[in-house]
Formats: sequence, C-alpha cells, structure tokens
Amino acid sequence: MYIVVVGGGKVGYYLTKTLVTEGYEVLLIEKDAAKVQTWSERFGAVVLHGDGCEVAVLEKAGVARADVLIATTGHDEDNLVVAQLGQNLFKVPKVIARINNPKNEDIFRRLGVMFTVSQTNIILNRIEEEIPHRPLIHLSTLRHADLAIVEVDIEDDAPVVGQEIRAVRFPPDTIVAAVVRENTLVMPRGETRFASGDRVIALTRRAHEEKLRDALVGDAAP
Amino acid sequence: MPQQSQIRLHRQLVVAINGGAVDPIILDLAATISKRDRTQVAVVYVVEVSQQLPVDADLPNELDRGERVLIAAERTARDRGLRATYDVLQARSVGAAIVDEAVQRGADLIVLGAELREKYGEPTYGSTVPYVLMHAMCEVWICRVPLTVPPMAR
Amino acid sequence: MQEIRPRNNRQTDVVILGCGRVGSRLATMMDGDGFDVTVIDTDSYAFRRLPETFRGRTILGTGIDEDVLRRAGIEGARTFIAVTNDDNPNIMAAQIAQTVFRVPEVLARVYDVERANVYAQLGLKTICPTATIAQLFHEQVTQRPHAPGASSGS
Repeated sequence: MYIVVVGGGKVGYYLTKTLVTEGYEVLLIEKDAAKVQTWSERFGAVVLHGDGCEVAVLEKAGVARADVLIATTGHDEDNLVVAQLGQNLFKVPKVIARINNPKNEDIFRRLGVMFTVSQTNIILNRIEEEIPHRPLIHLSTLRHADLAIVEVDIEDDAPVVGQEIRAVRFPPDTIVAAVVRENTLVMPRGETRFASGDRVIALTRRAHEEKLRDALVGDAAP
Repeated sequence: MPQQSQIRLHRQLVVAINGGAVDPIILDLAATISKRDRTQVAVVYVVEVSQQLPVDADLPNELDRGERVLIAAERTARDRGLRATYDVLQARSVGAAIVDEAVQRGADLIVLGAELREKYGEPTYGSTVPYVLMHAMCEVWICRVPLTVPPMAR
Repeated sequence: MQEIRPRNNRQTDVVILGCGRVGSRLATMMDGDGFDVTVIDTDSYAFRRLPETFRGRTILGTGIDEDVLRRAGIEGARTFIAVTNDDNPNIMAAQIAQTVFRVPEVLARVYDVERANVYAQLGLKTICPTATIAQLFHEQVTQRPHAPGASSGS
C-alpha cells in the first residue's frame, strides 16, 4: 500500500511517522526547504521537497500509483486542491482531506471530496468524550471510514500489565499505533510488554471501542 | 623502526561505484586496503527507483547497466589482485542503500566517489555523499578525481 | 471593520474577490459601466486602491467562507470573479460560488498553467495570466520581420 501525505506540519509529520512505523510505503510532500531538511534527517528518503498543489510535483511523487492521498496542510483551500487533483486527475482510490475550519466540512462534501477529517471536531469530540472521565479517550474519528483513534491509560490493576502485545485478545481490525511510557514514545512490537502507567494509542473500528477498552483495562473499570 | 600506520585495520569494506571516472581509483584503494588488512570487500552498484514506480519494479535497462559496470569493475579489481563480491541493489535513494548495506554487512568502512556536477547553476556533489556522511556510523572515505578548475571558480 | 454601505438597496450584480491591482481596477471599470459591484479582501488597506468615486461595497473577510460571500451579496449576483494573488483561494471560492450559490457566471484567475488547465477541464472558467502574458511576449518577438522562421519579406 502506497500512501502520499501532503503537508509536513505537525499533523503531517506525526501521521507520516506512524505510517512508516506501521510498515507502509509513505511519501511526505513539503514545500518548506528547512522542514524538508529536518524531516529527511529523521525519516531518510521519504520526504519530497515541493508544492503538493502542483500537478508536476504530484506526478513526480507517483500519486498516480498511490492507494491513499492525504492532504494535511493548515490551509483548507490547499487541502481542497490537493484532494481534487488526487481524485479527478490522478484517480487515487482514497483521498482524505484535513479540514481546519469546521464550516468547510459541508463545502468539501459538496465539492466532491469524499473523506475529510476535521481537527476542531476532533477536539470537540475529545472534550465530550472526557466528560465524565473514562479510561478510554476517543481521539478522532475518520469520517465515513468507521475508524476511531483512541487513547487508553493502563492502570496498576489492568489485566494486560506485564503481557506481550501479541498475547492480548484485541477486537478485530485493531492496531496498536503507539505506547507512551514515561513521556517517551515506544514503538509497539509483538513482544512489547504493557506496563502500568502506559498510555496506549490505538486504531480500531468505532463499533469495537468498548471491546478494546475491555481488553486493555478489564470489565471492572469505571 | 618505522612508525606504525595510524590507519586502523578494516575487516569489512563496502565500495559503492556508479560507472563514473572515479571508479578505478576507488577499486585501487579497496585493493590496497584489502591486501594490507585481509579485508572482505563488497562492491555495490545502486539502481535508484523514482517515486513513480514501486521500489521493486522491474527495471531491465537499469539492471543491465549495473551489471555492465560491475563486470568492468570486476576486471579492474582482478588486475589489482582484489577478490570481492559484486551486487546490484535497487532502492529509493543511493545514499540510504549504501548505509543500509554497510549496516547489514557489519562494515567498518565505506568507500565512495564524489562527482562534481552543476545544478541550478551551482556546483554540487549531489545528495549521496552528504547523506552517507550524515547517516553512516562506520568510517567513510570519499574519493574524487583531480580537477582542472576549482569548483567555485567555474 | 467599516463597510461602505450602498446608497440604495439594489442587488449586487458582480462580486469581486481580491482588491489588488487587478481586482481594484476591474471593480472600478465595472462600477463605471453601471454594475453594482462588491469587492472582498482580507486586508482593509487593499481598499485604498479603489477611487473616491467608487460607488460599490467593500467587505472585509476571506472568500472561502460561505458567510462572508453571503454578506457580499453573492446570492442573486450574476457574476463572481476571483482575483486574489493566490491560486487556491481563487479556485475554492469560485467553486463555492458555482456549486453552492449557483452563480451563473464564475471566473477565477489561476497563475499555475497546469492547475488552470485541470480546473478548466473540471468545468471552472479560469484565466491564466502566466500563459496569456508569455504568449503576448512570444507573439511580439516572433512576429518581427527578423525573427527566426519569419519570412524576410521583400
């Protein structure tokens, strides 16, 4: 699976980093030379210097063979153009656009962009999800994709403490994307063992959020 | 009693060639090191695959060229008494491929050539040499042919 | 944010996005023709380019916001012209005008030649100054009697 990410801001950077860790073939397009330099030093050969709104740059990036194109810049008009070029010119099977101004969600839909992710709505969701406090925090929902990114804190008494990731019975279609341990990021592998105090970030189907919570923190959790 | 050479012994050497003018110098150097240290030598040629194609795309012309460069290198090397392995690698970036190869072989030295080119009206040694210098943990030797004009005076 | 209110409640005929050199000149011309013109810009200082005699309205805001476009009277306008200095806001605003507000005549300035072509194929009327100006210069130069390929005449 080949994924092209346009925009190397914080969103694009962490997305690329996660996708690379997951083992996908990824290319990040960024127009700021200084950022390209920094990200290249961290990622190696997965950063292309150029304006992702330009047809020639998208061509060079091999967007024509991409399975997924994701526009993550901080400007909605740029994300719209990237998404439309991806859908209409390069016929990318799945195009996802980040929306910065929630007012634009409906406009993007009407202008034919099929998948959108709205930052502001994610934060609103997160606030809603945090009241009342639950061990599982819903970070984001990929619209139409039925996927959710969730965050789970592992307490002392959680059943998974000391267990290897591969031994945990997760619901289907669940990916453990990252484990934050004492403020450092642990890239999860099958043999990684959960520890008390870990913060786990995982990708799952919306319908399986509760099952995921049960698997990690047990039925007895509040 | 003559002083011992300050250059340390090398066990495994990765030599990157590209069919350019500097190849014979690099191979000569590899032969000299190998004779002195009984070094294992791996000669590699990297085919760079553009982002428009999958990294494992079938590239018969590029592979052919790589084979030809390696055959020529083998001939030069045999004349200098060098025994080595020869491989064509296929990768997104020449620099990353060389560094990976060095890591995989546990190499303690990489030898590669620097070729002066012009890009956007300015002299440059390209991206491979800086990449290898920034990312390889082992020793790196860079070779370049003599010039007739200083690069910045062109 | 001060808006120059129209002296009567006539409907806006033309909404112009961007009060730069082109936008302000176009607004002045169309105002002179007797159209009711509204100009939008994110920078209030840009409106200084309009002459004292300009009778239209000015709206401070971004053209990629439905509410701003509505305030500019896009509902019922016959023409929408996007001439900010950036291609993508022009493209997005023009599409909103065309698809959401169903403005009968929509035009967008797009500097990037390829992007202008793509969006023209997608049904947006684009004017590409880059292509137009290059062509004008080219014609000026190639139509001289001594240009290569031009017949020398007698």
